[in-house]
Amino acid sequence: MGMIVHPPELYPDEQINQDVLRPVFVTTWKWWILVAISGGGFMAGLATWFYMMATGMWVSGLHRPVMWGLFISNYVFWIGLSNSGTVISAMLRLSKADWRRPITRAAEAMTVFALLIAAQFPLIHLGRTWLFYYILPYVNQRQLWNNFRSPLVWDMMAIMAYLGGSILYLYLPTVPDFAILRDHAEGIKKKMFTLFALGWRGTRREWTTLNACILSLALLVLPVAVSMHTIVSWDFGMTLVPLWHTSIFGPYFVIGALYSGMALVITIILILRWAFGWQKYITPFHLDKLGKIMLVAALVWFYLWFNDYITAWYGKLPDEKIIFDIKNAGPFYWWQMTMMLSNTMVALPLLAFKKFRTSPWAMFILTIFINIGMWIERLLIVVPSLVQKGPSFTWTTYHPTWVEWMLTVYPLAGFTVLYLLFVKVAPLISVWEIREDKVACATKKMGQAELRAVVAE
Amino acid sequence: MADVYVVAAFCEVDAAADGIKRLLAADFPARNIDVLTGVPYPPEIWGLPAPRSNIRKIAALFFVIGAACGFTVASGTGWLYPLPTGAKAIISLPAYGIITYEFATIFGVFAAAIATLLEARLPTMKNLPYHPRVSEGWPTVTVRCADSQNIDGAESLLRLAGAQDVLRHAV
Repeated sequence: MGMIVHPPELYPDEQINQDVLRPVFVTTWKWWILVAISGGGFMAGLATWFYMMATGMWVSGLHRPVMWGLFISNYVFWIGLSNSGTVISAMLRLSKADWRRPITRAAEAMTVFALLIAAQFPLIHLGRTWLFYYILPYVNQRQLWNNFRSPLVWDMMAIMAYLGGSILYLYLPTVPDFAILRDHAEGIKKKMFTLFALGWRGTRREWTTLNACILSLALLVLPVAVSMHTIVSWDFGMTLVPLWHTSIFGPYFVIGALYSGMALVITIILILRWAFGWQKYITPFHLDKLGKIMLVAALVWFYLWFNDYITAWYGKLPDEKIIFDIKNAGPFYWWQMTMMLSNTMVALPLLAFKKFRTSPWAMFILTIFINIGMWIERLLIVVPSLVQKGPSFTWTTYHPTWVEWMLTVYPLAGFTVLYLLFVKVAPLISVWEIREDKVACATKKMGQAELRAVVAE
Repeated sequence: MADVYVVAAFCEVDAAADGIKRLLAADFPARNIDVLTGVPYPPEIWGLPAPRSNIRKIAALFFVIGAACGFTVASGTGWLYPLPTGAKAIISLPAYGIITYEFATIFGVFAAAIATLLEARLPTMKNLPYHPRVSEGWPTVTVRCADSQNIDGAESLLRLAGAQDVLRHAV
């Protein structure tokens, strides 16, 4: 196999504009069909949510003691996905990885949209959604003072911090691209982009300030992402429920989030690559790099999973053994096997090969399977510990109803709708960063080879 | 006479840098010269004093202020309206540490964003000098001139340096 290059220096600025801005200005029938399908799924999910609000939580499969079912599994799954986009972008920016540039915007957008979706699940789970303001920290006359010692309040604070940080981390680096769009747009779109561009002209002061801001935000947002998913794990870990009350949950959740989020980033950039003909910007080189990071995430995830598994297996504490057995030999056995197959047995050996990592189709299929596996993993964390919790006369089973399945499709449809709408508002590859790549990297002849020379930032 | 900017678009970075060098040699003050680009070039290539940014310091300062606010809100609420629960102290440092950290980050992030807008003087609705070629990657030099002699001089120097398109922009 020949050397895989990272090639944007070959393309003139006008062509980069044309290639990357085209999806914002040109709307095809395929876009409308996708909006119609995902919008339909979203509206159906929304209608189901309203139906549940109108009739009550009994239409779901939740019952004592399984009060956390698919809603909370979906919440953890989508929070995990949101965790990863900004983390990947911030890590690559802080480590000054030049190859990050075609990927960061799509990853940052993924974080914001996944978080907006995930944040709805606690509201869905409330049942009486209209009383959502009870979870906000405000002083009221009913003496329902906020308990700042509750992990649920920590969770809400962390989500607010991460959402605020991620929106700014997505928006501010997009301002120079809004200025480019402003210069190319006409009519109402020109007005919209003029507003979003804030009067950006590209002065030296503006660039210096923006770069300082991006680095500051990356530095601030990165630990918040880690704290947010750690706190989600503490929603479980701080309880005394068997197989939840474990100190490994923090890092286990964080690495799981990074693993599934990385898989979704790859799925998304591959879809963008095919949909908009961006093969020359998102190359096998990028897939290889992302695949290597995902391989590390997969190894660490398996390592932490095995730590959790073997401690419970060896300890054989009576309460834990009951849950351990139903996971590994009882009704959840096939779920567990599917998860291990997707996340470890198939993913690990395949990701070890460069030929596999650089194949778009292979990576696309694998990343979808990884996310199915990670969704099952969330389900296996939430449900088994509840079905046989406490005295045996309370033991039960859990069968999600159509309401919960509809509200599992709902976030996927909602995420797709948000992403499709975003395509029309901002370029999903950062134009100025791609151009910066041309400035930062040039080729230099050395001996018999043309090598890339990098200007240190 | 209103301030007039000479706006010169170049298709090469080297030519634009040469234009600035000629302007400086002709005693145009550096504070009146700027470059508009579609890419953040290393500031030293223009031969102009590099702008400084205090955003990191501001973000760090507000991080500390946020931490103080977070701890005050959490412990103050617990102290004024005690809610005994979970066999934890009313002022529980490990739990309040988390609230403190999240507040600190929220303050730091928003301070960084607001400071960016203030430092970059955005948003602006002013009619400031600009050339649409900037968005196609052309570096554009702007010079603020006080009189017509200066304007003609700046324009000819920039053309000599290889400017492809020169405009005059009255503010």
